[in-house]
Amino acid sequence: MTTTLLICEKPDAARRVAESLCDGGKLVKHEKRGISYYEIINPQDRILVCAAIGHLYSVDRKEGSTRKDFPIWDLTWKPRYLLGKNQEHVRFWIEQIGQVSREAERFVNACDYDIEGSVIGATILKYACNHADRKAKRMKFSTLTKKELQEAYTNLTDRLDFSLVNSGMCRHEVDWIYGVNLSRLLTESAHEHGGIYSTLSTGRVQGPTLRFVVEREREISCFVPLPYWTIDTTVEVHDAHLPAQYAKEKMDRRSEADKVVQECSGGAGAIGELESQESKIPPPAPFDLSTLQREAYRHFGMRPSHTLATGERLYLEALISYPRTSSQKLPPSIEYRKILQGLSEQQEYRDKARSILGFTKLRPHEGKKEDPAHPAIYPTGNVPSRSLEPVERKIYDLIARRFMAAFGDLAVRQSVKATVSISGHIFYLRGIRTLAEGWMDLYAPYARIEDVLLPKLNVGDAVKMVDIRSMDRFTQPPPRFNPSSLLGRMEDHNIGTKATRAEIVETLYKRGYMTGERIKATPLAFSVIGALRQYCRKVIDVDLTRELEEMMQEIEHGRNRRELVLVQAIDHLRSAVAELRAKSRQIGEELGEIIRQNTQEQVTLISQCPKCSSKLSVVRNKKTGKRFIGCAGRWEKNCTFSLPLPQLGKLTLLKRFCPKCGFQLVQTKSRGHRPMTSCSKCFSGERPSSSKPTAQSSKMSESD
Amino acid sequence: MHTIAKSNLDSAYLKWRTAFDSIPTKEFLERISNLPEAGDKVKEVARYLLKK
Repeated sequence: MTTTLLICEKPDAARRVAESLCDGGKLVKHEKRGISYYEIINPQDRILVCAAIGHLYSVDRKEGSTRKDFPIWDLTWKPRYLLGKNQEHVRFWIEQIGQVSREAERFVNACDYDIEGSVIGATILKYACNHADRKAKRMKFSTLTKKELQEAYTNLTDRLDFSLVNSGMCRHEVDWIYGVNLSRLLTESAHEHGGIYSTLSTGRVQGPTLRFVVEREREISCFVPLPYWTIDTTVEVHDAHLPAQYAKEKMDRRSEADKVVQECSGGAGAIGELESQESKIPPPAPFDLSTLQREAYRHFGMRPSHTLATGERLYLEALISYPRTSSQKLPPSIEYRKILQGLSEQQEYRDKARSILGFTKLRPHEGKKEDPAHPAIYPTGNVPSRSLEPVERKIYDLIARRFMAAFGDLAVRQSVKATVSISGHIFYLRGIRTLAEGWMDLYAPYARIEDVLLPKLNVGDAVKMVDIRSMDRFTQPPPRFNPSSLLGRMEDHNIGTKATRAEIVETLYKRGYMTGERIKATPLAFSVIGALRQYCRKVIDVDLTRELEEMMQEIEHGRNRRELVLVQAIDHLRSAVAELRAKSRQIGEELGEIIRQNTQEQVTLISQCPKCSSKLSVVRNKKTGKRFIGCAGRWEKNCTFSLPLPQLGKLTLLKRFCPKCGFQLVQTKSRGHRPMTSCSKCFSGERPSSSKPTAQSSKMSESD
Repeated sequence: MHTIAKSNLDSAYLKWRTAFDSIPTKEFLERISNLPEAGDKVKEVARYLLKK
């Protein structure tokens, strides 16, 4: 009996794979040090299913070099437990997989079928299973349903997908070498020449993405609105008051608008022409990841990273297909009818799914985008075995309805345009109505198009001007990015991958380069991009990043080699690092100044000392380490004013003031707790019980 | 950035002047410094010019 070892990407996936492949045999769950693996004893073979926890190996500097060596050009793959704090548990996973692998003669990478899954599986097979990657096979699947997993196990590929593995490994290597060298350079420049330490980061994709945000901020900051005028009118036709649109939508001169108002005020006319047009609107394409992320942001305000994480949970529960896909195609092999039958078993989709099942031919409307590895995101038709969390329910609902909408008929809308001439000026009355809802009914409530109805009109009908006025308007600045539109911009420029873009956006938030849902670049972002732009433009150059991206895609298609791409990337970077190092003093001084200002802003209150009017700031007691609000006039004016602060959690000074006493509010955030907003002066807060001063803080206030 | 803002203000003033047939510089700057659509740097430059 042959023993086969399957490597899965996550414990949940391993459980599902094990349960699906246990075909009339015996399934045993083994557990050591809290890490489980599965043993399936089928009549014909024995299968061991081990799980990873994402990447167990990562890129790092080669043996022999230390943290002091810089720049770093030599790299190697190491187990993650050697690389960072709190990674010790990874050692146990690797040891367990290594131990289990000794029992196996056949090896299979059963991680998700994409670049990351291929790299996770290949590195584990190579380093933990004694170079088993050379003889391993690949299991390809898009859903974790029993049927598909069984088919994938029966139809294993002969060897690993090395082109995908090499492309993925190359991406990790290039990103690491860019990230570590450039980030280190910025951080150390600020530390050495700016006299302040703060972790600064940039990278191959991070830099150009941040540049988009900074450039948009610059445009907004320097935007001068230009005036223009529109004409707002109400006309009376058949006793109905309707808004009419002036033929020239925008007027650049006030005098021109005033003239129209003057000439048409109280005027009358007749309907001269009636135009009616029917338009057929095709169903939207099924979801690829980016479109799902955009739609989830539009309807639920969910950040792209949150949508991806939720999608992955649904995938692990076998409720939807693999979400990291760029495809908008639904091949017949996914079995539309079965999926729709599954959906018809869920009450909320019953009627609509049944109506689609009644169609003589099922042919989904598809988009242009393709992905050789996976189809578009679709529901598997499985009924959720547990009650879904609200966010999971939302994403599932969106995907299920979008899938059904793809089979819908064209929606038909009729627009009517009536032309009216009053005092020689042309106005339009516009109406629009839906003649056939088609797919819109299947995609409700996410397809919302409102009708504007007009009364029945005929040529020659009398029209009376009831109200006419010119409206002062100003051009608008370009809109700020939000997490979803920033992701869209990255996609348009082909930088990053569908799997990494959302994470990069989150990193930019974490590093303090941008804030808010409507993204605002911080002074630190301006400073970093300013320095990179001034001293080495190419590291934030979108074209260079895209070029590297394309080279990595060439590896994926077998048209380029990993080593060559890496050498080319290093060549680019070597000159950039040299240029930046030569200017590290200027860069460090500029960055140091901004970091210092930022830090100062974060701890200085807007409210002044009520005793001496000096600045108040958050300070720490050197002996006890406890924080409190102290007065800057302590040394000059001998002012002893102080106020207590909550001691636990991350403290933020809000730009809001206490409604009772007018003092600036503070907010503390602790893991697992709701944020607490409180006033240090009168102790009122949104969570009064916990915002009251503790005995310790009151004491501190007295002693300080 | 203030240089770019100033240059944008200069070119916009010509368009404002045409749009309103004529508008004194002071009124233009005052309106700009109160318009929510105007950028921060533009407002700073406008206020600085008004003080000057």
